[in-house]
Amino acid sequence: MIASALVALPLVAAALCAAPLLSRWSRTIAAVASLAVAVVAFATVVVPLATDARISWAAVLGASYIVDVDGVSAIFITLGGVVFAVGAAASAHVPHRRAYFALWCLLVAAVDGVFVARDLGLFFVFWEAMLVPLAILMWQWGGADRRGATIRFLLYTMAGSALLLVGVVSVAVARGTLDIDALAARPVPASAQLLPALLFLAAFAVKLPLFPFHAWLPRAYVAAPIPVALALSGIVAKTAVYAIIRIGLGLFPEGVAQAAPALVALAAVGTLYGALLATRQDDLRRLIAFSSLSHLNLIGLAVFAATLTSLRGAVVASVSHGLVVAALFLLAAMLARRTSSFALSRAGGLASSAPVLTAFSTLAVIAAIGVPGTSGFAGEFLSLAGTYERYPAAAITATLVVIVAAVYGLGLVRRAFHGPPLATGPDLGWRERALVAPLLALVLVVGAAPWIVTDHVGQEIVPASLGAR
Amino acid sequence: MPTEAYLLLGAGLFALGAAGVVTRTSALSVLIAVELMLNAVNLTFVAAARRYAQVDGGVIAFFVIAVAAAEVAVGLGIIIDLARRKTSVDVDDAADLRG
Amino acid sequence: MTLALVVALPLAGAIVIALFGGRLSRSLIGLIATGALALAFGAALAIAQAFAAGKGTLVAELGPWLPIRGADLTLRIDPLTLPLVVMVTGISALICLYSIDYLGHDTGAQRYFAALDLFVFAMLLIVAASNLLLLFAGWELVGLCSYLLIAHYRERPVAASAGVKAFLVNRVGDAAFLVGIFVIFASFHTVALDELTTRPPLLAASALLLVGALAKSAQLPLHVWLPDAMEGPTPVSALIHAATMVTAGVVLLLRLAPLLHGDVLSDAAVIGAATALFAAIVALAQTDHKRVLAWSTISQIGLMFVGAGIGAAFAALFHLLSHAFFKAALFLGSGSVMHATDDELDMRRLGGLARRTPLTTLAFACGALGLAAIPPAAGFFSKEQIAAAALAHPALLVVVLATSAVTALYAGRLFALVFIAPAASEQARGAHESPPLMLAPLLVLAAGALVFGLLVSAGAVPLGVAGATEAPLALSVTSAALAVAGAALGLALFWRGPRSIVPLSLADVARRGFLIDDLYAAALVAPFRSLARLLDTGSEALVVQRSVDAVAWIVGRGGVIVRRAQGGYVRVYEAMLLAAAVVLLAYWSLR
Repeated sequence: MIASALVALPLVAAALCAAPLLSRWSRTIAAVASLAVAVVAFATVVVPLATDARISWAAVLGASYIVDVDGVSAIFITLGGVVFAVGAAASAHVPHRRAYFALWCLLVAAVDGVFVARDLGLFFVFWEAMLVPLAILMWQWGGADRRGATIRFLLYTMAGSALLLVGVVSVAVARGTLDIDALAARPVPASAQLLPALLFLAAFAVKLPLFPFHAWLPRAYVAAPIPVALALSGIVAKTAVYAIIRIGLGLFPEGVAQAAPALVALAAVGTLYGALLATRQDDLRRLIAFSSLSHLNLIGLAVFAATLTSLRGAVVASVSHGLVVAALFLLAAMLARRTSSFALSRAGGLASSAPVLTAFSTLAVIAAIGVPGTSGFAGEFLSLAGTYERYPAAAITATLVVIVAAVYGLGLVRRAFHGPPLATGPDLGWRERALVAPLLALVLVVGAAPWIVTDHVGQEIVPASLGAR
Repeated sequence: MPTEAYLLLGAGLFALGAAGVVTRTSALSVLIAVELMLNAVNLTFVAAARRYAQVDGGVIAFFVIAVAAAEVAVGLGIIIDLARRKTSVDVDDAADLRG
Repeated sequence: MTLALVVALPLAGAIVIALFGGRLSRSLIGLIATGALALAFGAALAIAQAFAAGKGTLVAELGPWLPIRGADLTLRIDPLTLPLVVMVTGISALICLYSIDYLGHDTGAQRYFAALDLFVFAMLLIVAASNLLLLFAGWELVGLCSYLLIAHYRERPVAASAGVKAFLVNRVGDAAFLVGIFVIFASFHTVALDELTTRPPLLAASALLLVGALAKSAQLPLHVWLPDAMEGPTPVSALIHAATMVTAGVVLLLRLAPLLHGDVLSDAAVIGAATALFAAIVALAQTDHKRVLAWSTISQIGLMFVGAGIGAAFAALFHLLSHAFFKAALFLGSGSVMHATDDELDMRRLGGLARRTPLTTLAFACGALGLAAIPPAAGFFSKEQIAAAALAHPALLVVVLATSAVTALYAGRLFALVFIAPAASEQARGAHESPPLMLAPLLVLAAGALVFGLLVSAGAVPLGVAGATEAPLALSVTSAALAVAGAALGLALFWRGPRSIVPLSLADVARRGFLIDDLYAAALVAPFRSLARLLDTGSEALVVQRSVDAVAWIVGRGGVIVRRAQGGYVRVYEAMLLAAAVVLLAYWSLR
C-alpha cells in the first residue's frame, strides 16, 4: 500500500504542478512532494508497516503489478526524496515552470517506481519512464550543448535498455513469471545465468555508468540544467546500483559472479580513471562529472564484489555520493553565479569575499574525498574493505584513488578560493545557505552514524550462493 | 473442368496484373491491374471452395470484392487529388517520398 | 566519562567556534578554544590522578560506528598513552593561549581556532582510539587539520600549495595505512586493538602501517611536506611539530608494537637513523630559522623511530615528551622573534635580539639547550635513553651520537645567529618584546624543556612504561661531551654573524634538502601530470568519446546506403515486393 503511495504521491503532485491555478506554487509543491516521499520512505524502515501491493494484469506475459519497500529500497527512496527536494528548491526562475515541475514530479514518480517495483515488467516500465522526463528536461531547459548531449544520453541509454528488454522477455518466456521475489527464490541453474545476467547488466552498466560506458556522462552533466544534473548524478545513477543489487545479484548471483572478475577490473580502473581525468578539468561541472564517475565506479566495484561489508559500503557510498554531489552541484552553480562562469580559471581567491561559500565548498570536497567523520569515508572504507576480502588487487588499485581524489579535490579548493582575490562576489545569502546546509549536515550525520543506513542492509542482501562473509 | 485449369487461369491473370502494376505508368492503368490481381485471387478462392466443397473460399471472395470496391473508391479519390496537384496521373511523377 | 570528556571537549570547542564564531570577537573565540583545551587538560590530569591511585586502563564506550567487528566509538587509555594525552592537551592549550595575541589582527581567527581544536581532537583520537579504524579516523583528520592550518593565509598561493602538498604526502601514507587495515581485517575479521594484539603480526600489514607512519612523521622518503609546512602561522608549526601531528607516527609504532612484525620494526629503526642524520645535516645548512626547526623535528623524530624500532618504548616515549616541550618552546620562541621583527625569517638578517627581547631569548635558550641535549635540559636525558637502548646496535649508536653532535652544532648556530650576532637589519635593530599573553606560555614551555628530563629521571613524573635503562657512565659522558662540544663550536663559529664554511654550491644543495623535492617533481609529479593529460586527450577524447561517434557514424552510413533503395517510385517498390514473394515461394517450395 505504502509502496504504491510512494509512486502515486509524486504523480498527484505532477498533476497539481501542471494546474494553471497553482502555477505560483508549483516549485513548492514539487519540493514538498519530494520531501514527503523521503519522510514516508524513511518511516517504513523505522515503523513496521504493510508496504506491499500486488495486482495481476497482463497475465499472458506473466507480468503483474507488484510493489514493495524493504530496507534497501527505502534508503534509496529517502535519498531520492532529499535530492529531488533540494533540486526542486534550487530550480528558481525557470521558464515554463508548470511544465518543468510537472516533469520533475513525473521523474520522481518514475525513480520511486524503479525502487519499489517487484516485477520485472513493471520495473522495465519505470526504468524506461525515467528517460522521458529526464530527456525533456535536458532538451528544453539545458545549456548550450543540450540537443547533442540529450540525444547522446538518450540513444546510449536506450541501447542498454534494448538489451534489458531482451533480458526481461527471455525471463518471461523461460520462467512464465516476472515476479522478482519468486524468481529470486528459485534461481535458474548456475550454468544458465551468465547470458541473462549480462543482458541485464548491460543496461545497468550504461546507466551507472561503468567505465568505459560513460561517453554520455560528461556532456550530459555539462548540458543539463544544474538541478537536473544534480538529480541525474545524485539519484538516477543510483537506480543502477539498486538494480544491480536487486536484479543482478538477486536473480543471477552466479552469472554476476562469473562476470565479476572482468567487471571488478573495469570498475577498479574506472575509479582511478575518473579521478585522474578530474584532475585535468577546468569546467567545474566536468570536474564533478569525472569525480562522480570515479565514485560511481567505486560503488560498482563494491557491488560486484558482493560481500556483506562491500554491499553495505555500496549503499552508504551511494547515499554519500548523492548528498555530496548535490551539494557540489549547488555550490558550483553558486560559484558560477558570482564569477559568471563555471571555469575554475575564471575564479580564484574567492575566500576573502565569500568565506561561507568557501567553508561549505571545502566541507563538501572533504566529504567527496572521503575524510573520516564524513559519510564519504564510511562508504569508501566499507566498500574497499569488503572488496579486499574477495578481490585484493582491485581493492588496492581502487584505494589509490584516495591520493588522486585529494589532488582534484584540494586542487578545486585551491584554484577557486585560495590565492590573491582575482574574483569577488557576495557571500552566500540565507536562501543559498538553507539549500546546502541540510545536505552537509546529513553528510556529517551519516559519517558519524553510518549505522543509520547499514542497519537496514541485512545479510539477505548477499546472494546465498555466494556465501556469507 | 479440373480445378487445375481455374488455378492456372488465376495464376495467369495474377501475373498479368502484376506485370501491369510494374510496367504501366498511368495511375488508372495501375488501379485496373490491381483489380485484375484481386480478381485472380478471387477466382482461386472460389475454385478452392468448389474443390473442397466448403464455403470459406466464397466468403473470403466476398470480402475481397468488398475491399476491392472500397479500394477503388479510395484509389480513385487519390488519383483525382494527384491529378489536381501534379496535373498528370503518371505514378512516376509522384516520387516525393524518395529516401 | 572523564575520558570521553577529554576527547569531546576539543571537538565541542571546534563545533561551537565553527557554528557561532562568526558573531563573537576574536579574543572570545580564542578564549573558548583555549578553555576547551584547558578543561580537557584538567580532565586528563584527573585521569592521571586515578591512574596514580592504581587504576590500570580506562575505557569509554560511546556507541557503534561502522558495521565491522571492533569498529565502535570506543576510547581506551592505558599507562602508555596517558602521558601522551596529558602532553597533547597541556601543550596545545599553551599554544592556543599563545595564539590569541599572535593572531590578534587576523580576520581568519574563527577558522584558525576551530581547526586548532579539531586538530587536538584528532590527535587525541589517535592516542586514545580502541581500534584501528578510529585511530585511522584521527590519523586522517590530523592531516586535514594540518592542511587547513598550513593553508591558513589563503591569499598566499605558496601557503595554499604547501597545505595541499602536506595533505597529499600524508594521503600517500594514508592509502598504505588503509590497505594495511584491509589486510588485517581480511585476515582476522576485527579491527579492535586488544583482539589484534593477541594475533601473530603480519609482515605485509606491518610494512603498510609503517609507510603510513613514515608519511605522518615526515621520515625519509616522505619527509618533503614538513619543511614547506612552515607557511602556516608559527603557533601551528609548534602544534604540528610538538603536540599533534608528526609524533603520531611514533605513537603508532608504540601503540601497535605488538601488531608489527619484527623485521618491519628494525626497518623503522634504520629509516629513523638515516632520517635523523640526513635531516640534521640539512638543518645545518638552513638560512631560515623556522626551517632549521622544521628539519630538526624530522631529525628528532628519526631518533624516536630508532627508539621505537629497537623496542625501547620508554626511550621513544620519553624523547617524544621532552621533544614536545623543547620544540614547542623553540617554535613559540621563533614566533616571538617574528613578532618582534616584522616577520623576519632569514637568520642572516637577524641578530642581537638577546639584548632587545630578553625573555624570548631566555625561553629560546632553554629550548635550544633541550634540542642540543646539554645537561641538565630534558633532551639530554631522553636522548641518552635512546643511545643506551641502541648500545646493542653499534651502527645505530654511531648514527645517534653523530646526529647528537650535528644537532648541537646547528642549535648553537641558530642561537648565535639570531640572538648573539650583531644585528644585521633594521627589523632586528627595532625588535621589541612580545606581549605577556604570548610570553607566559612560552616561559612555561621553556621551564618544561629545562626540568622535564630531570623530573622523569628522578622518578617524580612516572611515564607509565617500564624500561628506563641505566646508561653506562661512559656513554653519558660521551654524549654530554659531544653535545657541549657541538654547541660550543656552533656558538663560536657564528657569534660574529653568518659566514660560509663549506662551498656555497654544496651548502645550497644541502639547504634544499639534497634536492629530493626536485627529484620528486621530476620523477613523480611530472609523470602523474603526463598520465592525466594522456588519459584526457588520448583515451577519453580519442577512444571513449570517438568510439561512440564511430558507432553513430556507421549507423548513419548504413542509412545512406540503404536509402538508395527508396527511390520513391511506386512501381519499383511493387517490383521488389513481387520479387521477394517469388524468392520466398521458391525457397519454401524447393526446401
